[in-house]
Amino acid sequence: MSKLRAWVSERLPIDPDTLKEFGSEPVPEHLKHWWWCLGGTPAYLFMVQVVTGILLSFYYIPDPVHAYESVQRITESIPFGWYIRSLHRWSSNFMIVAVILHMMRVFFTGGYRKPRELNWIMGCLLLALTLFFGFTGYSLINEQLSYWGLTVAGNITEAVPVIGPVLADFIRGGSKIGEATLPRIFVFHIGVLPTLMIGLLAGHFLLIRLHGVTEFHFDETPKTKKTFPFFPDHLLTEIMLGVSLMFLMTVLAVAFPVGLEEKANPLVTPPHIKPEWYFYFTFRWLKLTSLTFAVLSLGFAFFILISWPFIDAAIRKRRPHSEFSILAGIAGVILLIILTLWEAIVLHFGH
Amino acid sequence: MYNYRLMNPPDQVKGRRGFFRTVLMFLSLGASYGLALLFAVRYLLPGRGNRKKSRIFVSTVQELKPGDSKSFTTPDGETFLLTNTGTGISPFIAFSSRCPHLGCKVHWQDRESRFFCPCHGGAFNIEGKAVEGPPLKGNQTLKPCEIRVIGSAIYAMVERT
Repeated sequence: MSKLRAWVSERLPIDPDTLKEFGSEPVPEHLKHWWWCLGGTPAYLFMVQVVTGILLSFYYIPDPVHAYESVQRITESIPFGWYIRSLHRWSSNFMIVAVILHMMRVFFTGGYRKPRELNWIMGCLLLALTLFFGFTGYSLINEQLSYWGLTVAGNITEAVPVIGPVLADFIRGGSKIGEATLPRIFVFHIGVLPTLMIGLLAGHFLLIRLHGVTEFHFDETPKTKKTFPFFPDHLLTEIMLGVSLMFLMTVLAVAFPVGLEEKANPLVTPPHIKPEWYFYFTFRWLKLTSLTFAVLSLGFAFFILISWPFIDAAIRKRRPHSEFSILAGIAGVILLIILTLWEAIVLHFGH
Repeated sequence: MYNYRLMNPPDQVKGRRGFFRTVLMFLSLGASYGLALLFAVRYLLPGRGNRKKSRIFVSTVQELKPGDSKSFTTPDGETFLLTNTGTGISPFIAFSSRCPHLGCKVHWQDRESRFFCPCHGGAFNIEGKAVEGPPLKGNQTLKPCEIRVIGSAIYAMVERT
């Protein structure tokens, strides 16, 4: 045993005590509250996505002739294919919910404030990546929703001033959806986006580790720092969370397995075309405003979201006790919920 | 302020109970994720005797008199010969009509109770084994097809594509 240890430590020159210290960073007591586990949730779900995604790509064929049939084969004939695919889909939905909840937690507790602005920006980019993941993911199935979703998204991209047309052609691999499109979307989904995501996640975690978890000074609590070690205590919480999520997603995969709609048909636009629920708000916004205005305003909204730490700092410099950020956050969340519900109600009960 | 009871980590239990708790935890984690791993392996290794079969209707019992045979094609494109041998408890057999020698069509000769290939004189018995001609030298057989008689209908069991 000691020989083995010597062999390893010669080749991996890390002091085990340093490693232990690194792993068992003391984290504040409030991390025992479930709200503070929302950051680890998307990370766990991302791992589920990587594993199930790799499994799916063993059988998926990214070209317009075979894509739909290969998904059908995964869903209907290959053992446990339905389970892997349903897990991938449910996990993607959960991931978006978890990312949004995590961002809300950070926003409403002011976790983005100095010196953590950069991590907020990375978080916003991770949100955008997650949404792109969702979009490219359901485009790959090559069912009606995929094809017409791609068509709509391509036209939206084209409406972006100056770079729009070039960007749209780059994503589609041509001026319209064709043979080159699905292979490209596939490369984005399994190559470009995961690489960016892993890089950003590494940066995100590194900054959390460097800054430490945000501490709070509640009025009634004395200034003594109560902490507990990350490893194994907090990790156990995350493992519990992971197992519970896996259980829940398995139940959902069995009760509501992912099916298939009609195959993409470039000649027939289905009467009730709708995106995934997490794009309902953009869909509603597109219906309410002109295309160019919608695109520009959505871009502007994302810019505001990214630069909120600086806007908040500017406000608090003038009025140190301003609650404006909280109010703006609540207004933003309510607006998103209204737009999403509005679209959902129109789509599901409107006809 | 918060209710921590739910979240209290179990590592506060020391000694034997703590040890068993840890062991139990790792066993449970191993069992659950191990099962998922098993699913993944089954997913990646399909077709190990698990290709599902479905049945296709070929003929009725009344239609196929003893000594008659009827040709049918599976979804894979293979042509088989359903034959009523007139003997035994289950007189119906089905074999590929493709001679394994050079691919000519075999046909049922009722008097000799054999499948015969006119090209080079190959012959096969009711088990599909070669008994004469070049296929006998190569010890070749006709490819069989599973038959199921339900009521008065005869079905061939074919692999799903």
